Amino acid sequence: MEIIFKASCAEALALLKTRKFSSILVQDVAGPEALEFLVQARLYQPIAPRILIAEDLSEQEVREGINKAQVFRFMRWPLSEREVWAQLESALQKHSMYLSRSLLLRESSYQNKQLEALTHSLEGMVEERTQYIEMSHREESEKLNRERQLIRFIKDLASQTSFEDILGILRKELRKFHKMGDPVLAFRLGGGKTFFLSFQLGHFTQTETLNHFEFPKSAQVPSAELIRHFANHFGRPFIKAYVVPLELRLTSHFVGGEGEAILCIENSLSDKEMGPFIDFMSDRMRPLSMALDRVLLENQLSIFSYRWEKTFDGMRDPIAIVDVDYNVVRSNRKFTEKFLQHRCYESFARRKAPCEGCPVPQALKEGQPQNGQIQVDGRIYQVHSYPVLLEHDSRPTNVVNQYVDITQARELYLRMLQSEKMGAIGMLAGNIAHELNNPLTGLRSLTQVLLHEAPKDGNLYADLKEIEKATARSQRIIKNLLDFSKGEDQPSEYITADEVIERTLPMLKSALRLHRLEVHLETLGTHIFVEPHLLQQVVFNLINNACQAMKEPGRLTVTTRKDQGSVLIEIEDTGPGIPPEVERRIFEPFFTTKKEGHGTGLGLSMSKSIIEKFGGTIRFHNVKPHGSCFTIVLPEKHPE
Amino acid sequence: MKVLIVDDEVLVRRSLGRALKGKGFEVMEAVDGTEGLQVWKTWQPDLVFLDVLMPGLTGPEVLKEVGSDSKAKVILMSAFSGEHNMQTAQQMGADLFVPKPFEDIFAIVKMAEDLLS
Repeated sequence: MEIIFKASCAEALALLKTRKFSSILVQDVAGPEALEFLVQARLYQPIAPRILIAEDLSEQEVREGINKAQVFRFMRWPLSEREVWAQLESALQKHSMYLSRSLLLRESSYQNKQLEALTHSLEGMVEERTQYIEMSHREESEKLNRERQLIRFIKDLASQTSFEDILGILRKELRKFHKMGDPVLAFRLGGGKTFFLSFQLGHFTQTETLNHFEFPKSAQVPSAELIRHFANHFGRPFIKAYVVPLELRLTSHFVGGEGEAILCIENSLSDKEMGPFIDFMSDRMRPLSMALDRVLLENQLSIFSYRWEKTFDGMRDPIAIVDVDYNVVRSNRKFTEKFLQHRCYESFARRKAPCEGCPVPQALKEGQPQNGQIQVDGRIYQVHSYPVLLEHDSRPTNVVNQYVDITQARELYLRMLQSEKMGAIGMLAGNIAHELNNPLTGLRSLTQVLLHEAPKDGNLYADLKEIEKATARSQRIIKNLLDFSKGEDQPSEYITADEVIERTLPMLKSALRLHRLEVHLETLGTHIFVEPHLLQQVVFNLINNACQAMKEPGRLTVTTRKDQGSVLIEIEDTGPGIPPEVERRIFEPFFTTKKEGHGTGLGLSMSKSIIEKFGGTIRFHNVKPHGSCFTIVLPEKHPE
Repeated sequence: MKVLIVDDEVLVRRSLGRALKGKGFEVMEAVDGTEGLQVWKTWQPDLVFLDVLMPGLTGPEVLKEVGSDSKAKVILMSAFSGEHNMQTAQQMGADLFVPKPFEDIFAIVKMAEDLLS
């Protein structure tokens, strides 16, 4: 330890500024000098405890010494050396305590500083990170937003079914770029026509042109030539545009590989704005392509289907697609306008079971077209069944049925057959008549000559007379036969019904041989105007039918009578009569109850049409106890 | 008066022939058109009964062959009344047409007498 003594405060003051002390001892002589020094000592050496030794100290001085200079100890003079040392010891202890505290303080403040620096740099890093994260977050959300928009766009497109709606959606999307024109879609489906879909004055419009021009194969600002085509077509200038080719994969496949389309968007974007727009369009090119492709295909399919439908509807014949259970799958208008759709035999023929002659089972079995004839409501249909093969090498489950109404053709055919038959009979009869008439003429004439020569009262004369009568009768029969079998084109004439019947009956002798014939003819002198041979045919038919209806020997009654300006011919038999369900249909063409091959079914329908041709009617009723009666009513007509 | 009967039916020839002979006519018969034409040319009858349908030459063919050479009156006879009538017969150069079968042979003979008088 080193103790430095200085005699005066002034001397010691200088020392305060240059050296460090562990404790400062001041012996106060007099005056404020000591206090002043201690204040300075506190200033310069704060951790050196200060001790003031004075002879006398007022309370005032002590207070000031503590307040101003923070004096550690006051000691009263005189004092022992031990006391001094003790105090000094204590002061030194204090000092060393201060010293170590100040060292500690310094250390801790240093460490504090270090901590602060660290915190600071950490904060910087955090801030940087945060910024970075914020930035990438923003980017992400932008990207997400963009994708969301794209997804929404795709979703919107997916639910649209018209060009108008799809272009409408694109149009709405494009608005955010401003300076945008409405999109124009141009497409071709093979063939020379180019179609344009556009909004003109806000209205969606389709136009077309036959002018051909190349569609660009990549998205681009179009060539001047392309722009010129657009401008020419729409009759207005196209300043700046952007075209995007669209791939029509499905439609191309459907129309045979030649579908192509472009989308043209007018704009007035600057070069700087073009970038985002091009990105925007390239994002949307594929979904747009797909949506437009789909709609185009749908349109084509519906046009196609509509055309098919109209084709089938335009056909004269009923057509129906029928499945294995005879259910009508589809049918044309001609089929549906007449019939409800269930099973074909229920709806078409109103039957409970498949029609007789239906070719459907055979067509399904063989897988080959078949045809057959069915009868529905007195009409005859030729049914052509074409199997529908949806998959190769499989059995058909559907057939297309075409129902051709051949009623008229068949009726004509059978009438022709009838007429040919009658013609053949006529010719035969003519030939026979000629062959018979010659010898008959000679026979009768010779008999007449012999009669002239024979004695009138002998047996010879009577015999010759009988021969003459027989030849005369034979001649009449031949004449009747000739008249009966004349062709259709005979003139009408005034005749009595009685005569027609008398002419006809001899030809029915064989049919009538089992039955009793009663004839009541009461219209002598009352004329009708008819073609006699046709009326003969009708009467012949009715009597012949009546004879056939009577299985047991019966009675046939033929009556003619007058009734209020009409002539009635009644033909009545004692057969079983006609059941009601048959009665309804007996005058329908082709209706027959006879066995296959035993009648054309044309007899009564032809009889009806013949009688109606003469201005008359033919009707039927059953009679008691059993039997049927046909009544022909013809107007009475007399020659002028 | 000479009457030629041309008909392939023997009974017609015989009946007509007997009836005419009974009235005092001179009668010759021919069995078909060919023979008839020959007799017509050689015998020069005043009246000819001519059937239409015959083997060989038909009545109209015989008429055509004879042409205007003959002064004979002609009565054409046919059982096929539909084919011929008075008008067509006269166009062919016949004077009368008689459809077969006859109702009364004496009416025919009367017609022949009237035609010749």
